[in-house]
Amino acid sequence: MTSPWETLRCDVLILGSGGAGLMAALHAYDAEPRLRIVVASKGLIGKSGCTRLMQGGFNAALDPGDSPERHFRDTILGGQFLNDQELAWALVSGAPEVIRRLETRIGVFFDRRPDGRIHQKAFAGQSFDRTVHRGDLTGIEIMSRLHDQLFARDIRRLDETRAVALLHDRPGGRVAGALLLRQATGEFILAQARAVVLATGGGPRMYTFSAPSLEKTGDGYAMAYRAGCDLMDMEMMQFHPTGLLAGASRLSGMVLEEGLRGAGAHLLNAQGERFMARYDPERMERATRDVVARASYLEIMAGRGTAAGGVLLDASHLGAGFVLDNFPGMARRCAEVGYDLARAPVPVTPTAHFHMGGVRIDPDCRTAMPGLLVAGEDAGGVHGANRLGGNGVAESCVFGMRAGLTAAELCASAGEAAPDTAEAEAAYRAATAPLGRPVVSRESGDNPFAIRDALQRTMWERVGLVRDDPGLRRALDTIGALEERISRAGAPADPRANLTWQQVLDVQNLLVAARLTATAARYRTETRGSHARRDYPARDDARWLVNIHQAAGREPWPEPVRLSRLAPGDAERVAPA
Amino acid sequence: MPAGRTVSIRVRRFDPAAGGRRLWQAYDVDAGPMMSVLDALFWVLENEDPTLAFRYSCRAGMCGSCAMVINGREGLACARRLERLRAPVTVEPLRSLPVIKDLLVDLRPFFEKYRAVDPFYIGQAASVFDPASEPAVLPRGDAAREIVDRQIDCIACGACYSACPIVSIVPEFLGPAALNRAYTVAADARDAAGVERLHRVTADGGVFACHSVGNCVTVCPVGVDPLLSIQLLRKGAVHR
Ligand SMILES: Cc1cc2nc3c(=O)[nH]c(=O)nc-3n(C[C@H](O)[C@H](O)[C@H](O)COP(=O)(O)OP(=O)(O)OC[C@H]3O[C@@H](n4cnc5c(N)ncnc54)[C@H](O)[C@@H]3O)c2cc1C
Ligand code: FES
Repeated sequence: MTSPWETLRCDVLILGSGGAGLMAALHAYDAEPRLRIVVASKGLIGKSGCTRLMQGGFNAALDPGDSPERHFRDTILGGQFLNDQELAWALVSGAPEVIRRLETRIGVFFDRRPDGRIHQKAFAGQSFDRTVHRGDLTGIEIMSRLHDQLFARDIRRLDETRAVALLHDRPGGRVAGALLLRQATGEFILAQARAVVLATGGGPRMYTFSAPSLEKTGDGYAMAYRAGCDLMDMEMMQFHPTGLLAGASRLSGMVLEEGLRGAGAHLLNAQGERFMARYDPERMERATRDVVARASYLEIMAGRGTAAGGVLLDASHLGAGFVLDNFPGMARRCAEVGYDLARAPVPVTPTAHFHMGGVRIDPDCRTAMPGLLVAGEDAGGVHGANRLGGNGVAESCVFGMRAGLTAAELCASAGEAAPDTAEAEAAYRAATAPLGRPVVSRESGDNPFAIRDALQRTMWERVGLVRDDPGLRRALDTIGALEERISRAGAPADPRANLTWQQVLDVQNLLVAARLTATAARYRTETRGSHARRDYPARDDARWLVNIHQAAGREPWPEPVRLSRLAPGDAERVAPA
Repeated sequence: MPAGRTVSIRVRRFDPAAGGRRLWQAYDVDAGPMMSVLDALFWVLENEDPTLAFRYSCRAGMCGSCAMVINGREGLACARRLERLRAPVTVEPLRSLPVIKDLLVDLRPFFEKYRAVDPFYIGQAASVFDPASEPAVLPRGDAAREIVDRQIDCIACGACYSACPIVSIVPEFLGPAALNRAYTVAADARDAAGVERLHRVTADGGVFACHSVGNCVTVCPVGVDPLLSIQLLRKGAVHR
């Protein structure tokens, strides 16, 4: 039989082109320019993903009055002690160096203070103003400049080429490549690599309201899970408190940045009350995201939401001039759909924003599977039970850099191994199965768009901001039924630029991510950070200072958090420096 | 526009690989409040025609994936609201770029020209294993930096490239987006490259090929003024 794919051999294969993917590519290249490096990305390289969408900024302890230790403490307190402390330390200690690299080597320009040094602003949940930014649309500058740097290097790009499956070598002891699909032509590529960097950005798009870019559908989690990786903390789903409500548009769920609350914007219910007074009277709107998002949700559930089903974000008292000067991107976003952020309250809803869970890695991005490195939102452990605003892009860039350097190092020692063609064959058959099956209408059956909508509704209602056992059980039943249905879904026969086919593959992956999320959420019978259980409303350190791990073919299992640098008692005692 | 109204959109369909012809196809979209052209295309895909092809990522005007020609003018599909457009809304792929299928164009020619200006910042030459130096101290209010700051928000969507009449008749013209990037990096006081940046963009196909038509300024969805960058490059107005 002639093989249904072209083959490609390289040293480093990078999946995803957000901050993590591009930092990995550039650093692997600069460490060893002779490496054959390939970046394959589902969306256009440099454009797709969430790094570009990030608004508020990037946390780094640059100021002499600040310190990595202090950033570390904020990160652990924010994460409610569930973080892998070695990963969190790698994050905070690496962030200042990464900011310097971005500025002096990549060409990113961050906003300055009047004295010409980098400006840092306040972000919720932090004891120091340490968020570096460029206006309120920081991600565009970071991604554009990283993308420019690709043009200075001999790095092969595969735009709009999604990874479909990770592939092992023949005995199965390591990852040796991936099966890729060029979406425009429908052609497959069997890519062999000495090191694979998974950086597809996770992404909680399995909720009714969510913030990430549309093409992110948990592909990395699904591929890693199928490949036998260990995923942790999947119950930890961050909801951002201020997702814009934009009628019937997909813009709904897009975030209005945290800096607005940092600068003093208020949250109001339909009666005009600053409801945070009931939930966190001390920090009010500047409490961490989990607290504020949950408070908004509870207000809405208690019938105090607006007609559109949300609450109101009000920045008007800060002065129109101040709002327009400091948040021009946010003001423009609101104006697009007819709201005046500078002068009137804007309707918002909590929105699924960031998945703290992901593949277990070590500080050099290694996984238990030799040959596979993971960085960025696909990885778990850095943020614990709640991520601080500004630590997401820091994670992508710090760990992307580390993954690139580790990949280069691995290539110096790792031999070549051919991917198992039987495994590739099976993945190919599964991926192409929907082609040519009838596409039924939304009303009459197994339509992929209808299945996605049903999944999003279930996740929003039962695996959302407040959870309980009966609801989670029902959600898992629904997910099971939807898994059945997606296995029958069809797409037009012509594989070229076939968005319906891509959607079927997307929903298959969303379902994997959803099942992992709901399963871990059922397992953790306490309330911590982003995970709130109506039936177990208290945090229980005696029993639950553990991470929940999941891997294919085995029951979920708990592992105690290693409190290697900071324990609950110490941190709360030590006053911020 | 009240919720639930029907809006007609006419999409220019084309499938070159299947030997197809360009033809207009009309759809009646069930248009909810605040829906964008991108939302309308999704509505068609999900309800009417599972074969429609288009490109998207952020749906928030930030990634530049969804530029197309809407009612005759370039724009981002995700940033144009149906309620503010004359119906029937016509949607066509970007001009001066090969069509892959329907609204999906091949952006490679656009990025090849972008690459031709050496768009990358050149900083200190140091090993990747050495720590980086401190970022430059750049007082606020520096005039050159202020212009650069306004011009670096380009999202490389290709709208200006499609709208530029010179691009369509002078194949080697680099186009507005590439030249804008050439200016912003050349005028970056931190950049270590020399005057060769200027040589590149003053050669054939560079800034002197521009006729100052200004369509690029009109269609830019993020308020960049590529024409200003081109004019500054022509004057050599960068300190080197
Ligand atoms: C609206 C918004 C605002 C944010 N603001 C901030 C902020 O102010 N500060 C902060 O710290 N964090 C912020 N975050 C979070 C931050 O953006 C993310 O944590 C981070 O950017 C993730 O980076 P990444 O490189 O892991 O993934 P991404 O940047 O999301 O990139 C993922 C890449 O993988 C590709 N991909 C997906 N699937 C596949 C596949 N199957 N095969 C190949 N490629 C694939 C995508 O196309 C994309 O190129 C924000 C997030 C959102 C959604
Ligand atoms: S989808 Fe990103 S700009 Fe429209």
